[in-house]
Amino acid sequence: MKKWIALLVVAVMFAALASGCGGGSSQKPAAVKDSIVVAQGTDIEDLDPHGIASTPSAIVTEHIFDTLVTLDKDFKIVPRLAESWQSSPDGKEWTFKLRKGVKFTDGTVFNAQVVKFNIERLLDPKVKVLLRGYIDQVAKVEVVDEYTVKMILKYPHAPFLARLSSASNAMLSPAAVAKYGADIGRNPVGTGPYKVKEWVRGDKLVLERNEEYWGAKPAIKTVVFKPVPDNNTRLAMLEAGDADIIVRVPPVEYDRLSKNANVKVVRSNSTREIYMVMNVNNQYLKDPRVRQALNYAVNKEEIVNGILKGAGKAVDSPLLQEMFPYKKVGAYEFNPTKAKQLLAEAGYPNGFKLTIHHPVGRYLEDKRLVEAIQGYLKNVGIDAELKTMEWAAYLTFVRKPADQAETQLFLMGWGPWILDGDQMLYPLFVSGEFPPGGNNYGFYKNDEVDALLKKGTSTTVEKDRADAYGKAQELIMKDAPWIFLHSEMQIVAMKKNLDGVVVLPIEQLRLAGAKWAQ
Amino acid sequence: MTWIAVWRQLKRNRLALLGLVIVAFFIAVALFAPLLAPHDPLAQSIARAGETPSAQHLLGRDELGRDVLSRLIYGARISLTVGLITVVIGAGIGVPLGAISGYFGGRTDLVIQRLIDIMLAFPAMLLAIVLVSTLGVNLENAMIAIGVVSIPVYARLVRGTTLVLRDIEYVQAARAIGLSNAGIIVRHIIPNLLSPLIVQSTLQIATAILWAAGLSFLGLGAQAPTPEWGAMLSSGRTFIRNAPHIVTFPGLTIMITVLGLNLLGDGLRDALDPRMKL
Repeated sequence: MKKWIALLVVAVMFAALASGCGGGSSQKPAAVKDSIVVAQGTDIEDLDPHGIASTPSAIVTEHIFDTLVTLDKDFKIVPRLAESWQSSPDGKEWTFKLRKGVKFTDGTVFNAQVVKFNIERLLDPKVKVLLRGYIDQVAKVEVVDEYTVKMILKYPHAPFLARLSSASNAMLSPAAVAKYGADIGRNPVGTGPYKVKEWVRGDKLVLERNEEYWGAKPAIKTVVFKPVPDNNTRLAMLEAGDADIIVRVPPVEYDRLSKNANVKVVRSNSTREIYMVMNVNNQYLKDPRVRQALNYAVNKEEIVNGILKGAGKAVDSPLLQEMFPYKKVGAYEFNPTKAKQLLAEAGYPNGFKLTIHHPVGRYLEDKRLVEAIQGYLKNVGIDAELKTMEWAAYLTFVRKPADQAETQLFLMGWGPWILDGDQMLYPLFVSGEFPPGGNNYGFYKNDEVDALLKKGTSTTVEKDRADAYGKAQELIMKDAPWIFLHSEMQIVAMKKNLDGVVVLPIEQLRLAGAKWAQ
Repeated sequence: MTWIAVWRQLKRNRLALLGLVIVAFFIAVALFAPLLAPHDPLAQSIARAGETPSAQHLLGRDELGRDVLSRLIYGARISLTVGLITVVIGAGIGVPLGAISGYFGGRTDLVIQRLIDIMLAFPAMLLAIVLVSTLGVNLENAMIAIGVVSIPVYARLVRGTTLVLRDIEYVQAARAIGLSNAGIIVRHIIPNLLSPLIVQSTLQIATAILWAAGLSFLGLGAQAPTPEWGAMLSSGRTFIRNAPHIVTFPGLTIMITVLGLNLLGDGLRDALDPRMKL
């Protein structure tokens, strides 16, 4: 009797399974789809563009709002709400001619007054602006006429135009700010190709086409963003058809996914550089020979090929190739013998003990990466202990001032939204940028580098900047305040028949030009 | 009952014998790890990470190109150590507590038993996680945590048996000739507790190995590059689609070892329990 019941149960389960599968395939709509589901790793914090600093949020706000200028897929600065611009010979005054006939989704007309309002809001210390450094070179904004606006800078600043392309410098409707006040982050009103239809925090954000959009009308009517933290879940969603685009595909899955006939995998460069910071106040790491030895000890190429499965590029300069003004300085080659020799010269023929701190789940294969580095260091006699920390706690830990810092060697990444070298070299290597306020977490200080980087940020003559930054890159590489590792590639996967999605090197997606192939 | 009698009893139980063989094998592997391991368990070779089993590497290479078999062999040492140390901690504290509680009864019993109740009120794994998080994440603290959470198991077992033993004639006799309470507990109660304790400890080693693997899986136990089975399982799980051998072999190893210990424990219980005699 029992056996029969068991058999019956199994039969019912199989029947349910079979009908479930059948149901899935018969649900495919006959008509052309006009929606896209995007699965991201983390949720959107807020939709007030001025208040955001994370890439997943920026991906969304960039579809609701417009900036004055933007980047195209070749990283060039191109017009958006500003049609043309001009700077004074001394580089302190910038005049923008604005696009005419642009309206916010609440009917407000976009004009010079709106630009003035937005820049002043960005500069207002009472407003929460996380990336104020992207705009605070502006001293004053003047309305010249209805569609002409002039910005006066405190000092000439070469990357200024690039900074205006940052998602955090987008244009909000002044009327909406007045209406919603602090709630503007939940009721965003912009001029972009999409507007918010529905937002259920932690579940989904639904964008709907802005029918009055000034640019080319998007082919896709609805875009849904879903937060899915687990890599494998996102992958399963794409393969099962629950998502149309997924970001941050684990590199180990690249080969397998590429073979899937229904999926196209886009692997492209990103501007995120990954490195191990050395606290130069550490008793061992204060010696440049030791720091160079650590660089010689690690096989960067092997990490890129073996751990990242090619989804990265070993760096050969503190600055990435994509950024102006990159100079190829030459990486430390993998040479454990030389590393041992340098360690012996520095007085540590038998190595020493170190602690490596690292986050997990933040960067591509971060845990495996530090485990590999631990192995390389062991080969040259350095006994490293790994300490894993949760991301938020980790940030607090590495941001302590010099006298409280417990860091020795730790994993970090930096992925600026604008591709000017200033955005990388200045905050990470100038001695004025020590924590707790700044991002020079290793307390690196070289007076010559300081002077060169200051010169680079305050001149607009391209050649002078290239010279200053070029020399700085050489000096930094020689001083080796980091173990220079690689730049990450971003792997985005989508349905094969989805065309026109632009993947930018700043880890962002542009969906306004997307459409489903017939 | 003599040990020969126990062995005779055990021999009749095929499953228990299988368990004994597995456990003996596991102990031998742990003891002779350096002789048995074909490679250095820490030698990485990233270029060859994830290679499938071959003649050179019988169980393949892991996510950093290390030899999986060698890591499993060295991992046996860690698991055996974890099992033994946690049992020593758990029994070392739990047995005296239980014996005192059962022997004296009354208010002492009440206080001790309520403390044990408090410990039992938390799910063991959760309590272990809390302990490790407070003490600091490493294998030593994981062992302490697992040892501590197994105290109630011993305390309860010993108390129950002691309650029976303290009224038995030879204990009464010992008391009559003026032996101190401590003397009675050490010389008469505890020796008579040995059989249930042996059974319980065999099973507890299995539980401890599982818990240690669980803690390491969550990143709260052994730290890289220690070849701990649970940690191997955890770091290999991302490769389950591409290189399933990395995660399969540690999983199988844990399963077989724990199964062996449980079979042996069950067999010992049958053999040692006079009421179960056929």
